[in-house]
Amino acid sequence: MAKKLVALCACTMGLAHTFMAAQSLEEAAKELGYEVKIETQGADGIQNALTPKDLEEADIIIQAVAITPENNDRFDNYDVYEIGLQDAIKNAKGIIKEIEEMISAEAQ
Amino acid sequence: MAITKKSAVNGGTDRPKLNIGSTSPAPEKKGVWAELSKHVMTGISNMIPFLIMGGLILALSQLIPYVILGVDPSMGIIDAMNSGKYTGSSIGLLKFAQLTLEFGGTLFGFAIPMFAAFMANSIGGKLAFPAGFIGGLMATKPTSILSLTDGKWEANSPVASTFLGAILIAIAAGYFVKWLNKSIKVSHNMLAFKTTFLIPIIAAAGVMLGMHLVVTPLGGLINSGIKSALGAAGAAGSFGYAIALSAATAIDLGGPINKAAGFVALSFTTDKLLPITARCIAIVVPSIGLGLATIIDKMVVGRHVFDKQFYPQGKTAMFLAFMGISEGSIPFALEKPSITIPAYMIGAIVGGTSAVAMGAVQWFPESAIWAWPLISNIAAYIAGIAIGAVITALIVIFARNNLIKKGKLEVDSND
Repeated sequence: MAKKLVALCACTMGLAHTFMAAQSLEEAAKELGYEVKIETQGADGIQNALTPKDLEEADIIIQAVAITPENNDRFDNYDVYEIGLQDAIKNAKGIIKEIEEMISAEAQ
Repeated sequence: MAITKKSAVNGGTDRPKLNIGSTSPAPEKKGVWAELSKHVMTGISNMIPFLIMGGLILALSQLIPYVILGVDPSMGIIDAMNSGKYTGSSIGLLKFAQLTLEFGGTLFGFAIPMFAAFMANSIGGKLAFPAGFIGGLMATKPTSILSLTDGKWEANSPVASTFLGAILIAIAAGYFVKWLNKSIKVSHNMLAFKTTFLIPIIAAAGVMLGMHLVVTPLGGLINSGIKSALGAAGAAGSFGYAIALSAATAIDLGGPINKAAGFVALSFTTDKLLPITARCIAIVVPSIGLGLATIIDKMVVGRHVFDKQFYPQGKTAMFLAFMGISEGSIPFALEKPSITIPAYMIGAIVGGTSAVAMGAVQWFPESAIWAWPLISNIAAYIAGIAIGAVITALIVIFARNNLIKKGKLEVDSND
């Protein structure tokens, strides 16, 4: 089974950065061979919500947020990597690779 | 790159694939400011729908009497109805305008309480929400001070601490509730007592006394202080403010500097200290300028200076700008920041400052076209936008054209 990456994106206004970050994370994750699901909390509400099953199955959980997301307590039992929206938009691939390194360094 | 790892709260026991044998790393490495700014942004994010809804309705209350019916701007709606100049359907319209004024004003007035409520909620969770809410409401409608004058007790309302007070009480209430939650330890069957009685009454009493004794006097003092300092600085002060505000707004288009500037400007304008005119203009100038650049580049330098896909984006950005949304110009800034960002800033500064110099005043924190009826001296405002947009467009076009000529920039166009 493919590795799975899930992410939550939310910016202050919920108009542009949220969706730009979601798109660039999705493309980068696919390119790196992940199965990917991304929740957006924008001005149009919560779209594509991450379920408990998604979180359980995920190898990497990312939050690209400028605000405290809604229903944040569902992440309490998991390791979450929080990144800036700008970084996600500009360098999603680099960020994912860096997180992979952090995880493998920890597993040693 | 800033990656913050937030480890699983219970040590991640249900995620053995990640955490076997790892000594648990320091969980929150984020700085205090980054943390606080996230809470402030959460508050602003949830306050904005109130500003928009209230603002839309309030705009009608200005549009109907002062634009459609031509009522003298110094006259209130009810005075206009009593003036005898309006009859029949005009009276009906004025009645409706009065309704929108009261309804929209009340809705708008909930923006600050909502800000404080969601900010406190972001810090301290569900129990902090009502504490922040009431704190924010007290910041706009402070509790009265009782004083004995000539042998009689009188209730006087103090100067409101407004936005400043709201942010102080949201921080205080949020962290206070968080601390209470952590430090009051009770057995499992006493949990209901803790969460339905103990914390609510301590938090509510704390906010009540904190607002009355500390935040309201302090915030009121600072607000009146700023007001008199600005009065003393006069015109030079308001120009300096316009320049700084437009530059900070345009520099990173919705990034941290923009948001910080917006935060200061929002608090000044809701407190009626300084109008937000320059920021409203600086928000729309970059997008309109770039939209303009995609339209006139061929006429100005005789060639297309952007890649094909940017042309429809330029027009979208321009349209979004009239809706008060600046994000449409982000793709351009990402593509060639060294040209685009200075062009944004120069256009925004010149546009914002010249509109202020020509006497445009906007107190309402919204750039969209529907907020334009609330501007005084709208001709100056539009002129400022036009000047700024043209300058941005020309800088971008000439700078890009120059790079193309030197062979340092390639564009994929149909030329």
